[in-house]
Amino acid sequence: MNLKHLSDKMGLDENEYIDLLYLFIDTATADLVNLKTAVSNEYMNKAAGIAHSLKGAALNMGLTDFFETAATIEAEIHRGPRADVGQLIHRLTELLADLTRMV
Amino acid sequence: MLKILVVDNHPLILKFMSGLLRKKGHEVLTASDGISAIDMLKTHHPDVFFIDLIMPHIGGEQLCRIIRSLPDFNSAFLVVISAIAAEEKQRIDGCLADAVIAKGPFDKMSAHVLRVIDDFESGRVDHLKGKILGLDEIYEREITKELLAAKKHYEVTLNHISEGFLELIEKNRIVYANHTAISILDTFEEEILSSNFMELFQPEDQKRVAECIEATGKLQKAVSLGEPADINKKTVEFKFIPLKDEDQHSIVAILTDVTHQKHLEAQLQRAQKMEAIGTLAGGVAHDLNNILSGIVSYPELLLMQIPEDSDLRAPLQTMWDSGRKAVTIVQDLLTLARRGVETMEAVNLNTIIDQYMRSPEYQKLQSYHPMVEIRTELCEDLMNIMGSPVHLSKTVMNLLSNAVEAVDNKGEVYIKTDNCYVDRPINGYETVAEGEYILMKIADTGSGISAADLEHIFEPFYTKKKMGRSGTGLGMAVVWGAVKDHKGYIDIQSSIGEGTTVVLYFPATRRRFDEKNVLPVEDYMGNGETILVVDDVKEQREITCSMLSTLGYIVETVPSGEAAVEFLSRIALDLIVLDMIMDPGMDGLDTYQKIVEGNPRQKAIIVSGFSETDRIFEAQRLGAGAYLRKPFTLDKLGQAIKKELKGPKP
Ligand SMILES: Nc1ncnc2c1ncn2[C@@H]1O[C@H](COP(=O)(O)OP(=O)(O)OP(=O)(O)O)[C@@H](O)[C@H]1O
Ligand SMILES: [Mg+2]
Repeated sequence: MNLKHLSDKMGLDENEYIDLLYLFIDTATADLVNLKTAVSNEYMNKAAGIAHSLKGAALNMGLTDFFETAATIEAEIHRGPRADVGQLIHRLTELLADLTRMV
Repeated sequence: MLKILVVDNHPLILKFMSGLLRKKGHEVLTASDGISAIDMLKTHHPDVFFIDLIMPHIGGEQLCRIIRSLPDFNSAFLVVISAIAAEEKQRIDGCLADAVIAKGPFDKMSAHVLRVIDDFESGRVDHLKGKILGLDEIYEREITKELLAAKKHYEVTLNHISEGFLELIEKNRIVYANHTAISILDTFEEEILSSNFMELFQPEDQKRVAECIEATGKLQKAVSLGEPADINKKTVEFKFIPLKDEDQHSIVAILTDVTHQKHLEAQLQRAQKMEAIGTLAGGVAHDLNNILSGIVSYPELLLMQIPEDSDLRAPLQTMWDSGRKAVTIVQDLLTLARRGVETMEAVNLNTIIDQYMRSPEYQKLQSYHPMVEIRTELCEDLMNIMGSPVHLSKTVMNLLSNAVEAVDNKGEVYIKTDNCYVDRPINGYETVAEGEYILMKIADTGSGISAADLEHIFEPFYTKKKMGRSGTGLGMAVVWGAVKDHKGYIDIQSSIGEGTTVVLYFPATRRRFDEKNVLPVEDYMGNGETILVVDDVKEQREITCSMLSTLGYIVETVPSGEAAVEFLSRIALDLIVLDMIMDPGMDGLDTYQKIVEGNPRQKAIIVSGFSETDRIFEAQRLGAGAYLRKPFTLDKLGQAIKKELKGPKP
C-alpha cells in the first residue's frame, strides 16, 4: 500500500489525498479513543455509531483493511450485548499507526 | 459559479466536498449539523445543498423539509448524500430531495457529485428523481439496517406515546419532536425543529421555565415545572430530564396536555360549589316554606269567607299576592337545591315567553329601559318540551331581565326559539344526548361579560349589580338549576362591549299539552267524608284543617306518625293527608307502612315541601295517592282528595 497508489485510485492528486488522510487520521484517532470508552462503559449504541462512522470514512478513503475491520466491529456489536471487540479495536489501532507512519 | 452548502457531521466529507467543488470554481459553505445550516440560511442564499442523511439532532430528511418550508428556498436544489441510502429508501422518499448520492469511495462520489452539478446547471434534473446514484458501490449494508431498525423502533414508540417529547440542545433549540409534541403545539415538524423552545411560552412563563431547565442541567436530575404553562390555548405540564452522554448534553422536555383534565376539575369544583350553596339555601328555604304557608293560605281562605264588598278584601288580596311573591323566591332557593322541581308536563316555550311578555313584571322591566328594543322571532311550529312552567318562566324572565339590564342605554334584545337537532357537543359540555331539542336564544347588545366573570355568573349570589332594584345574584343560578333539571344545555358567548348571547337547549317532546283542568269549585267540594291530617308543624295542621273544612270535609288532626297509627287503630277514616317529612319520629313512609299493615285499603295523599323523593315513590307503591307540594292551593288540594276518594280502593 502506498500513497501514490491510493491517491490515484481515488482520482485525487497526492497532496490532496495526503491532506484528507491527515484529517482522517485525526478524526479516527479521536473516534478510536471514544470507541474504547464507549465499549468499556457498555454504551453499545454509541459504540456502533462510532464504528459506523469509522467504516464510512475508511470507505471514502479507499482504505480497505480499515474499512473491513470497522465493519466487523459494527456487525459484532449488533450481534449481541456480549460482543467482544477488544481484539478488533486493537487491530484498528495498529492500522491507524501504520497510516500515521506512512505520511 | 454556484453557491453550494454542504452539511455533514464528518469533517472528512466536508473537506473532500469543498475541495472538489471549489476546484470547479464554485463557492462552498460547510456546516457540521442541521442547526448551523439553518442559521447560515439567515445570511446566505445557496443554490445547491448537499445534505448528509444521518446526522445527530436534526437529520437530513428533517433538514430538507425545513429548508423547503422556508419561503426563499422552496425551490432550492437539494442533494442528499448517504451511506445508507439503499435500505432507507422510504426515508429518502420522504426527503423531498432532488437527487440522492450514495456515500462511497471518493473517486466514485466525485463523479456523481460533479454529474449532479452538471445536470443542475444545464437544467436536466428530472431524470435524477427516485434514483440513488452510486448504489452499487456500497458494500455491506445489513448492519446499518439494524442500526436504523433500532432507531426506528424507538421512534415508533415515541410517536405513539401520549406525552409529547422535545429534545433541546444548547440555547434551548429544539432538535427532536415526537408526534404528540407536534400536535400539542399544533405546528409542523419543520417549524418546530431548530426553533427556540422558550418562544413557545408566554412572556410571564418564560422565567420560571428557564429556571427549571437550568436546574435540570445543574442538578442532572429530572425537574418538573411547578404549575402547568399555557401554550397554544392548552394547559400543559412540563417535566425536564437531563440527557447525558459522554460528549453530549441535552434536555428532554416531556409535555403532558392537561387541558381536558383541568377543565373537568374546574367543572367539578364549580358543580360542587353550586351544590353546596344549593344545599344550604335549600335548607333555609324548606323552613321558610313551612312558615310561609300560613301567610299564603289564610288570606285565600279568608277571601272565600268574607263578603264580596268587604273593605278587608284589598288588604287581604295584597297580603296574598305578597305572600305568593315570597313563595316564588323561596321556590328559587328550592330550585337551587334542585329539590323543588314540580312534576313535568308538556309545555311550549313560546307560550311561556308570550305569557311572560304580557306580565306586569315585564312591563315594569320595559318601563325602566325604554330605549331597549326587544325583538322576538318565535318558531311557529315549535315542539313542546317536558318541563315545569314555573321554572321555565323564571328562566325566561331572568335571562330577559339580565339582557335588558345589560344594555346601558340604547340597544337591542333579541329572543328566538327554534326546533333543532343536536348531534355534536355543545360548547362547554363533554357530551350531549343526541336528539331533538328546542332552542331558545336570547341575545343582547349590552355590556358583555368578561371571561373571568363568565366563570362565576351561575353561582348563587354572584352579582355585579347594585343591591336595590335588582341584584340578588340568584337569576343565573336559577337558570342553571332549571336547565339542569330539564336535562338541557346552556351555551353562553359573550364579548365585552359587544353583547351576550345565551342559547338554551331543551330536549323536545312529541307530547301535546296537558289540558289545564280549571274546574269550578263545586267540582272539588267534599261531601262530609272524614279526613285525618298528619303533620308535625302546628301551623300546617291548622291551615290544612281549615282548607278541608271549607271544602266540606270532616277533619281530625294529629301531630306525628305515631299518633296517626294509634288514632287509626281506634277509628277508621276515609282518607289521610300525610306529611312526608316529620321530625322527630316516624316519617310519612314509616307511618304509611304501619297504617297499611292494619288497613291495607287506607287511602292517602302525600304532602311535602320537597319534590318527589324515593320515599314518596315507595309510599305510592304501597298504595298512597297523589303527592302535593307545599304550599298547596285550595283547588289543588280539593282535586287531589276528590280524585283519591273517587278512585278504587288500593
Ligand atoms: N346578558 C348579560 N349581559 C351582561 N352581564 C350579564 C348578563 N347576564 C348576566 N350577567 C352578569 O351576571 C351576573 C349574575 O347574573 P344573575 O342574573 O345571576 O344576577 P343579577 O342579575 O345580578 O341579580 P338577580 O338576577 O338576582 O336580580 C350579573 O350581575 C351580571 O354581571
Ligand atoms: Mg339577573
